[in-house]
Amino acid sequence: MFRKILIANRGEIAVRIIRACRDLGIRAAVIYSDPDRTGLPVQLADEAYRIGPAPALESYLAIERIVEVARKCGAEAIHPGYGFLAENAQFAAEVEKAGIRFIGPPVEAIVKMGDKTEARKLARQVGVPTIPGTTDPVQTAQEAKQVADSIGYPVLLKAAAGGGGKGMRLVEAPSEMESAFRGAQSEARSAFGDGRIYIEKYLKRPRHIEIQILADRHGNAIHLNERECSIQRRHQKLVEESPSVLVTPELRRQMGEAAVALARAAGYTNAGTVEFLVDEERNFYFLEMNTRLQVEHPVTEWVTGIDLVEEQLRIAAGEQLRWKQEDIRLEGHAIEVRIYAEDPSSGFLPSTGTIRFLREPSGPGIRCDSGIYSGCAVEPYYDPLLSKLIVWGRDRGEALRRLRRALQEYQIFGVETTIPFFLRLVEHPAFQKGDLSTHFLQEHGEDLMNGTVEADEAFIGALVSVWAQARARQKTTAETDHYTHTSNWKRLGREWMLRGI
Amino acid sequence: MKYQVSIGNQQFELLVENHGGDVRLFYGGKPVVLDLSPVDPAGFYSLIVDGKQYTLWIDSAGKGKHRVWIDHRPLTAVVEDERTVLKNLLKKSSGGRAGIEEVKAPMPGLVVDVIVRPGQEVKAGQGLVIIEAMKMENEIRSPVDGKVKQIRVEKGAAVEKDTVLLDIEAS
Repeated sequence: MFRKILIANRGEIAVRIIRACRDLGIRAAVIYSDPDRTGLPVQLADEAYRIGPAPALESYLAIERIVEVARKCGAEAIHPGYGFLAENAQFAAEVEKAGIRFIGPPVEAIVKMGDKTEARKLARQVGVPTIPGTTDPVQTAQEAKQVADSIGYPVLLKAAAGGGGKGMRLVEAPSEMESAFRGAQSEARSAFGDGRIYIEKYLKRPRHIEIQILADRHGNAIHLNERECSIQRRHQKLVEESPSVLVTPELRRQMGEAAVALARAAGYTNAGTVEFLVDEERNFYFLEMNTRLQVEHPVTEWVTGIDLVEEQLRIAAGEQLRWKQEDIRLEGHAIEVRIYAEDPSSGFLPSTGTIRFLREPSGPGIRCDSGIYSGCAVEPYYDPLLSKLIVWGRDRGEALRRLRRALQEYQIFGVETTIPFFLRLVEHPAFQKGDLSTHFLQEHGEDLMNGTVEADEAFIGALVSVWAQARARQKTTAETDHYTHTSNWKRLGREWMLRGI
Repeated sequence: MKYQVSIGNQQFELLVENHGGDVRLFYGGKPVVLDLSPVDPAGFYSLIVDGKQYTLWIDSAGKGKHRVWIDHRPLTAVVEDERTVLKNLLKKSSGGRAGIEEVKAPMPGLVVDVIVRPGQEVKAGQGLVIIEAMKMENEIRSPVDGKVKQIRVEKGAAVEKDTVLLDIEAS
């Protein structure tokens, strides 16, 4: 096993990897950009190295600098986390060239599966069904229009190098193609440095269901069941659960076998995820493979009892898989919700600021993977994911009740978060029934985005805001008259100071 | 002092009496007993009314605007005392800047595109400006039906949070 690794990431995932290192007795080194100097990963790691200023291109995407840091600090391996350089073949190649182990699949597998068109070709070759569309990138909006005409609208434009919804556009009519194509291309270019776009048919009410796989360097490959991630906004996942209410044991076996077959064909090792769209008749279509650890990996960890980051480290270090397919359990039900610094009432616009207060939930069946603390700044430079709340129950009903309890306990103040949205979601009958699709928000968004303010609640709001206003007034008066009067605010402030608040 | 509070389309009138630093509230002529205790100076309170406990966040933005979260449910309250109510009435009748809605950047970012032109009629919810922040392109939409009065930013400009992007004359 490695003695020291470098974590080339930030936020909650860097924290998650540090934890796995601790459990295995590996020294964890992290890199940080200037605004992340006081971030949680830096506080928790054994070693921390400055990598550059805020812009990702000069910090978390600066391949040469990261490899240099790894070499200098004597790291034997680099964990890329997710996002940033996690699926960048050039990075993996540079790392290996420097004699450092890349904790992830071999470079060739990243190239093959990372290119979405190549991946779909390979899927067809091994008999895994795919969605109708182009196997080669389209060059112009004109060409995109021709393809869309032949497969029929609506179509989806996707970045060939993409992931996470970046560089993706839904086109419902020919008139929208021109601007959508341009938008997708420029977004893909700025996010991945690669503006190639391909097109596929847009399915009506599909579910997003993915299979987690693990493959070692000795030819063993297994799957760890499915995760359903149908609830998304802007093609980014908000909620993930395992198992899926739609998936039968037979479908699980079929999808699992397809995922393993694809991984084998790609020469894949380490942890990976094969994403599928599944229609209402339980037909599944290969979407893409994520050649890295997924944001939503904790739900799989909870229902299988396997620490995926630990397995990643073991596999990268050359160990054999410790499980056979028949050993893989699926116990209870796990759900994850992503707490983003976003305002659900304004269409999930990012919210920045300082977290002035934080209290995370706990108790039976609750796990919180977070990268924040009281007083930390939420900067506009990176992904707005603050934390992931994961719950477990013996069945979906219990998991949902625990989810509601945990969300009610969760206190984040200073930035807008998706917590109010999730509180409405857990009450929603369609969500409770498990009647999901990737269009869930289009179908039920109205009920979920804006909560209605009940009259008694508004009254309480009115009372406390008048109270706050009157207190603020009093404060200003007290300050101007402070030679003659004692200010209650000052008294309160002194009390707080004395009590160490 | 009398206060008027608007929350969405609901309105409340409250009377506040100040007794040597002790704030007392009256609603409909009756005193309201408010057990509001700070949990944390950041604005976190525990409120008990008739034995029912609420967890509250109060964020006062100034100018009478307060954002309040009651057990996670957010609402925005606009509080005006009798003097401000009067002042605003005078302003409106003298034809001041009433009816002009400033559209502000909700977060720092880069103006990728300005989709509307000065003088253009817009509907509430219609896209006005596209701002790139956190690697995503975000469409800033019109809060009201109206006419674009003035555009105050250019394509390519970096904006801070709350930078005024454009003015809409509400119709």
